[in-house]
Amino acid sequence: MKINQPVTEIERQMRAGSILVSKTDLKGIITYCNKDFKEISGFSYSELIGKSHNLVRHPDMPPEAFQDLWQTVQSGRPWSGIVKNRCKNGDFYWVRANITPLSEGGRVTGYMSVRTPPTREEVADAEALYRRVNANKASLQPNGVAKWISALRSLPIKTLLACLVFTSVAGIATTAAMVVMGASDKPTLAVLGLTGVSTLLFGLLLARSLIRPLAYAQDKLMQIAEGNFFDWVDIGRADEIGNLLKTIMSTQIKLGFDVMDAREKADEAKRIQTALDNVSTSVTVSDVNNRLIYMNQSAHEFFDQLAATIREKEPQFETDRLIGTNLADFFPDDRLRDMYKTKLLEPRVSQLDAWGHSIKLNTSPVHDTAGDYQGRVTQWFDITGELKVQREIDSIVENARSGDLTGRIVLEGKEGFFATLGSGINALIEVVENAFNDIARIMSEMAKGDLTKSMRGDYKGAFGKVQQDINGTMANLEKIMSQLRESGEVITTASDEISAGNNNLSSRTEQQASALQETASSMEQLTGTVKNNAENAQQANLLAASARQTAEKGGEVVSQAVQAMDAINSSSNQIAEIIGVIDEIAFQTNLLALNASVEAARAGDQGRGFAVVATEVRNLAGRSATAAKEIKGLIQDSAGKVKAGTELVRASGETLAEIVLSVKKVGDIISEIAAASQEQSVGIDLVNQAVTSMDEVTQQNAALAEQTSAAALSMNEKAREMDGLMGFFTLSKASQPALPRAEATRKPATTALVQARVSSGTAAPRHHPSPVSFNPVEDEGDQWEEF
Amino acid sequence: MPVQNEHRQATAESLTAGSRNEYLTFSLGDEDYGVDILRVREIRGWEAVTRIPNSPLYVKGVLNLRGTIVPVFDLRLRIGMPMRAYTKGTVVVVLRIVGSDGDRNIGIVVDDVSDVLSMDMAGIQRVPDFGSRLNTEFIFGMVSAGKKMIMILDVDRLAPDHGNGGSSCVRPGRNVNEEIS
Repeated sequence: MKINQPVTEIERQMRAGSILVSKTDLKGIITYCNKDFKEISGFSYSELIGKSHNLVRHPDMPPEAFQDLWQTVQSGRPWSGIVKNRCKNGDFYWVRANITPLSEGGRVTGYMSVRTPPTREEVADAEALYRRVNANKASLQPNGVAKWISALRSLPIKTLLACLVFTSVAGIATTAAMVVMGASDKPTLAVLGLTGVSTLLFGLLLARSLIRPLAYAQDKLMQIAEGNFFDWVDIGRADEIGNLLKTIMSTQIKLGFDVMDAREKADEAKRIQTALDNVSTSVTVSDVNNRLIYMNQSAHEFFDQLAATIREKEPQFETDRLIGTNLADFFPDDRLRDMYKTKLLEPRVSQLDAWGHSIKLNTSPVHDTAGDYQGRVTQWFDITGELKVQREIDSIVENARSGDLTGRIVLEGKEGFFATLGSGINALIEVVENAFNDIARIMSEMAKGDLTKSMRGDYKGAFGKVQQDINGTMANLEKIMSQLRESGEVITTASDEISAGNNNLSSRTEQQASALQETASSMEQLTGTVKNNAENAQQANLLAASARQTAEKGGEVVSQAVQAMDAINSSSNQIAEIIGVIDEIAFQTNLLALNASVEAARAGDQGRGFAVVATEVRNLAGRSATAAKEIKGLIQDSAGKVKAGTELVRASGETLAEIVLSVKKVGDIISEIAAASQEQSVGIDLVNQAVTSMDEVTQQNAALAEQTSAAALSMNEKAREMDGLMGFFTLSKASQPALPRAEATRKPATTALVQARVSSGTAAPRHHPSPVSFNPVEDEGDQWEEF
Repeated sequence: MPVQNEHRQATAESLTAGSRNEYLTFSLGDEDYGVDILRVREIRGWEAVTRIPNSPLYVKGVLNLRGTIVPVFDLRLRIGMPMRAYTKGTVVVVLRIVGSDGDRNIGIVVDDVSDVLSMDMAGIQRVPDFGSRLNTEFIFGMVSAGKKMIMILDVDRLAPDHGNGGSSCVRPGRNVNEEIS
């Protein structure tokens, strides 16, 4: 349940005669509403269309009312009631709402709602009722006695009819039975009376149910026939008459809706017509029979202007009487007239040349909503002046295109846009003509070889660019020509030098060739020498190996000698020891002999013989000691010599080891020499090949040198030719080449130079003239300064 | 002291008689010395001796000679010559010394023994007087044998004086010289 807030206590009154109309789909989404609805609700169309209808629901409305509404309309019956609605700003307005289902082809597709202003009494009753309902003190459904009365009133007619027939038939049947059975008169009469009374009662009820509502329905239908759609039918009845009344109400709602719709559409059409009346374009509308049915103000004035001319041929022409006539009748052009009389299928632009004017016609067909042809609408444009100027401009432009720039647009008699256009075109042609004249002048001078001219004048934009480019071109061309002239001279000189240099080169190439052949034979000898070298190295290697073996053997012998020396040494020591013992013995013997001598001396004469023996013994001991001393000396000498010999042998052993090492190194070096010789041999082969190819290249060089010589000669000739041709161009003083052009002095100088180089035999560094270059921007600046 | 006197007399006798005497010669360095062979008891090689504490430097010690304790002097030190290391050739000569209190034996260490020479007593000459500073008290006399000069030692003076003064008065050298002159 949507509750829209806020609400105010301000009521908006519906204008008298205004009717609020809206359409919703089956879910209550607004699909259409009229202007009155929009205005009173305060919402815009965009806020309403596509939104749920409960947008305008007022919170004071009891939900039961809408529940009843939806139940009613969903069951296909119309609903009517007093409803309080809420405006966008919270104000409220009361309406009598009448809602009916909208069916198409027997199927309900939406709901249509028409609201009229309620009376103040209705509003007061509804307000009171809703307040009570909201306070749960009342119900919208009838209850109690009212319900029974309502139910009685709503008894279907067929029920009443059945009751009537039944009571009548039953009463008569009972009476008849009682008569037949011979009952007394009194009960029979009573039954009969009762039957009559009940029959009367049901008949009255029936009459009441039929006659008055039918009259009511007839009255309402009469109102509708009179165009009063909004005298709403009371649809409180539930019987067959009630159904009829409900149908009438649906009819009222639908008709009212359509009427409102039609009214709005009429308003809209009127607006469009008013607008059309006042547009400045001349517009006419014809019907399906090509009769003029409408012309706007502008069209009226348009035909007024032409009226005098038209009347010359068609005297009956009068603008005020054109409505209803066929305009095409006045057209002097048969083709257009025929065309204008036939049915128009699509928009068309045509031109009418008549009455001294050129008229452009924009014609469009008019169709109704069903798409049937309903006539045409035509816009009329007088394009006489435009066409005249257009033709003039066409001819001028055509002339200009074919190169004639002398034509100009006549400005007399032209005003406004065309005068401005004409003078503009004239100025344009003038600028172009001046520029082309200027360019032609310069080009013709250039054709004669004069490069000193330039474009003078104040040109702008593309012309300025052309001027700048042409002046730049001339300046650059002049510069290039002078540089070409200079270059020609340089080329002449250079080609002379090249020629001489080539001769020199040729002879040197021959020398080189012979030198190369000598080199080749030397290389062969060298190859032999290197191979020999390699073999010798191999032999030396073998010899070195054997020397090493011998030296190693020598080393072994030395170590054996050392051992032998050691043995001798130890033997000498033993001998020395023995000698020591002998010496000791000799010493002791000497001492003993001395003691004997002492004893003999003490013995006096008896000891004389003994003293002699002792002396002999002492002599022997002395000799022994002397011999031992000598042997000892000899042995010591021998030991010293053995020691020295051992040292020498050891030194020789070390020397031999060194010799072995050295011999090994020698062997290694010799191996390297052998390998190096092998590599040398390979290298020499390569050198040989290189020398051979160099020889070939030298031969080719010789040939090329000759060719170059010939080419240089020919180049020299061409350079001289070019120099002659360059004389054709006239150049400004500033651009003249700085080099002296004396051919007579140049040639011997060159020859001398070449000879000097040939004699010296060295390639002297040649001075090249700096490459030719120019800078257009700078040149332009210079040129402009000259201006 | 009849024995000593006898000996003295014998010596003087032999000297004066002009008879030949035998001398044992030995060397100290380059010089040759001689002793009367009759005073020699034994000649033996150098052996280690038993050292005597608190003895003079020239006393090397004592040795046992078949039961008799014999003091051993280094002759070099005794006669004021420089010391020399002992070798295998170093010899100890055991001498009989005749003192006022009887005979006794001493050993002297010499570099080497040379020979037994028989010399005429008449060839012995007095030691020349070099002045009082030169100590020549152990030299009895000098004799030339071939190219060499041999100094004859006064053996009895080698032993230290025992204070009886007898030895000085019976110095054979002086007696000899006096007798000769």
